[in-house]
Amino acid sequence: MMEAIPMWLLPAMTLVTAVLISIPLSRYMAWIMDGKYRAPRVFRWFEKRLDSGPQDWKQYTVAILVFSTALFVYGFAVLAIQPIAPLNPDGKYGMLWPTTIFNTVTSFMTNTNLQHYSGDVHFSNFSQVFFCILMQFVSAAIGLCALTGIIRLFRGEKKIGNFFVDMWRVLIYMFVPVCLVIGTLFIQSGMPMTLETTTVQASTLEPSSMGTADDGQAKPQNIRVGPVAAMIAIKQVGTNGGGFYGANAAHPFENPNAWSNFVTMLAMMLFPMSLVLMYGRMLQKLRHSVVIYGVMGVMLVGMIVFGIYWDTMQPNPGLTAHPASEQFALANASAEGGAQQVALPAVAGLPVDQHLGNLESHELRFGTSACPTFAALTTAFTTGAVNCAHDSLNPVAGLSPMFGMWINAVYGGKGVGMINLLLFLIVGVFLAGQMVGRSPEYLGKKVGAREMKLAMLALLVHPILILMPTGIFAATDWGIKSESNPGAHGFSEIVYEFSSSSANNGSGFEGLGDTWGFAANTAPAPESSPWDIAAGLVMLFSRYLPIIAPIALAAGLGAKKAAPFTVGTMRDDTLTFGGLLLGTILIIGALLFLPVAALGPLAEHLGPIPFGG
Amino acid sequence: MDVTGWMVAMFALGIVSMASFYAFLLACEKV
Repeated sequence: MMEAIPMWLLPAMTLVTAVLISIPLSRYMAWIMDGKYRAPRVFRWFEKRLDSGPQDWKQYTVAILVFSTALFVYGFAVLAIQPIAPLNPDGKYGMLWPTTIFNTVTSFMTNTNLQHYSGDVHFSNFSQVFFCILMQFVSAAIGLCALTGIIRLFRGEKKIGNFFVDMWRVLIYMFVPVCLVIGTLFIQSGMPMTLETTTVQASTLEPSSMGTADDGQAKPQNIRVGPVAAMIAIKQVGTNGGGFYGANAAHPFENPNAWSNFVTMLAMMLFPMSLVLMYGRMLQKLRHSVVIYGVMGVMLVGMIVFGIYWDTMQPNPGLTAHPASEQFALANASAEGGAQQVALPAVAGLPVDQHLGNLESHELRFGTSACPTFAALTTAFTTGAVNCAHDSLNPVAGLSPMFGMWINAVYGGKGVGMINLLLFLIVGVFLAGQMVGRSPEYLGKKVGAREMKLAMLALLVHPILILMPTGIFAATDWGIKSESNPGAHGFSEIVYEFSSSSANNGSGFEGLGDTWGFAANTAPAPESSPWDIAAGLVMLFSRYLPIIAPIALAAGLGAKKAAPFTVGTMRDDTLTFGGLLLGTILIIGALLFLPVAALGPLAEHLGPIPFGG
Repeated sequence: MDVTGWMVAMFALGIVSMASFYAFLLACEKV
């Protein structure tokens, strides 16, 4: 009983704190985005120069696309010149292989931050600052601007402000001050913050694990340091997720202790949660946004409880499912008789104390339930940072982060999560209207064929971009030769990678050979280029199509005349409406992915070989 | 294909993808 308290205390404290902060923060955000503030003179000077005049929905969307294209060109250039750029002593950091550059640039410009490289190994401090940190600020702001544009369209405005001024407001009045506070807390908790390209020496627990010097002494481990605290602040606040270190938030310098872990989790929740309430405040429909907030909250709590139950409260089945001597036949066309005999992991049957649940690749310094809690949060808020290896979650517990990415609207990333939820909402309203025989309405405006076509188009992009490449890679050498585990677990690795790419999440299940590294590397992972290109394209298309179509939808819907509210009008601020919305999300959003859930995590959970042997 | 060829191809792939989103925007306008 006493062990259960801290297990639930961590998620409970995090959720309650985030909810409490999101209420005043949403008020501040609405105030900023409605332009009610009076900026200091120096900021007004910048705003005047950025303001190219009010834009209609098409001009605003074109501005997003032009700005994003400029980001692509800029990011490509920065990574291409890494070998000759400053902060690269001895030219240690060469140029990445071109497909990895493509993947990395698309990843950071789309707020995904999927990393097919290791930050501390492949990036100089120049690239960390002028590529990673800069891209994490601006890419995060794009989604928030897009949502603001949609809100103004719903208000019936034809000119919806100026994208570049909105971008300025988000960066200067929201992200920068919050990141300064969070970054300071991170430095205080022990994160490095320096522009010097230097290393810290550490003695390893196993004295010779780094090899021995000529004098027979054990070599220390050299750990790179840099502007870690600055990068991690915007990594979390902007729901980016791209880490300074390859191990991300599991690395002691990127997440030193339980306190920094708490702040890290809190930081990624602040803006996505506040945005939902900002939506209601800007539309003057706060009760409606509270219902949406509640529906998202129910799904988030469900994900956390599911993850903790199956991971922290259950032992690792790889250790307990079967005795070590037991062998299983695994289909393999190249083996004799079409099957190979596979033993369970060598440690099976050992008397390992598992009363704290699955401990494989978990960082107990954060708390027993920190891994599944973080996994649920990082995928719900589409951050993609990890404080443990998701590959090592108990098989069925892996469904928790996958669900977050499949729905992609459990608060979601800044702006885009709320936009995705609006699509479910439009479809739900339409279905409810059909059931009771009334014309469907949202915000008093009739939802017609055009709105439904655009909503379904935007909704279907996500499953198509996950399921199609998953099928192709699972059936070809691109996927089969990249998996580190056979069977259902390997399939989970593939489906997770494309789910993460399409949700613009960026976390990795890991276990896939998808890293080429520097262009000069003579022994890269053989299938890394197909992974780079496919995941890069998925990230691009899943980012911009579901932004463009909803803006076009909002432009059409917002221009319609609002019908008067009558006794027959469906209220959008009731529990019934919340139930309708939740049902629509679960039926339309989740059921699309039931087959891949069955082939991956569920098959592994029910099958004889946990973790693929 | 050498490194330079791959660089050009990957850069072009990104630019063409971004251009296709503008075409998508025009298509959405016509829906």
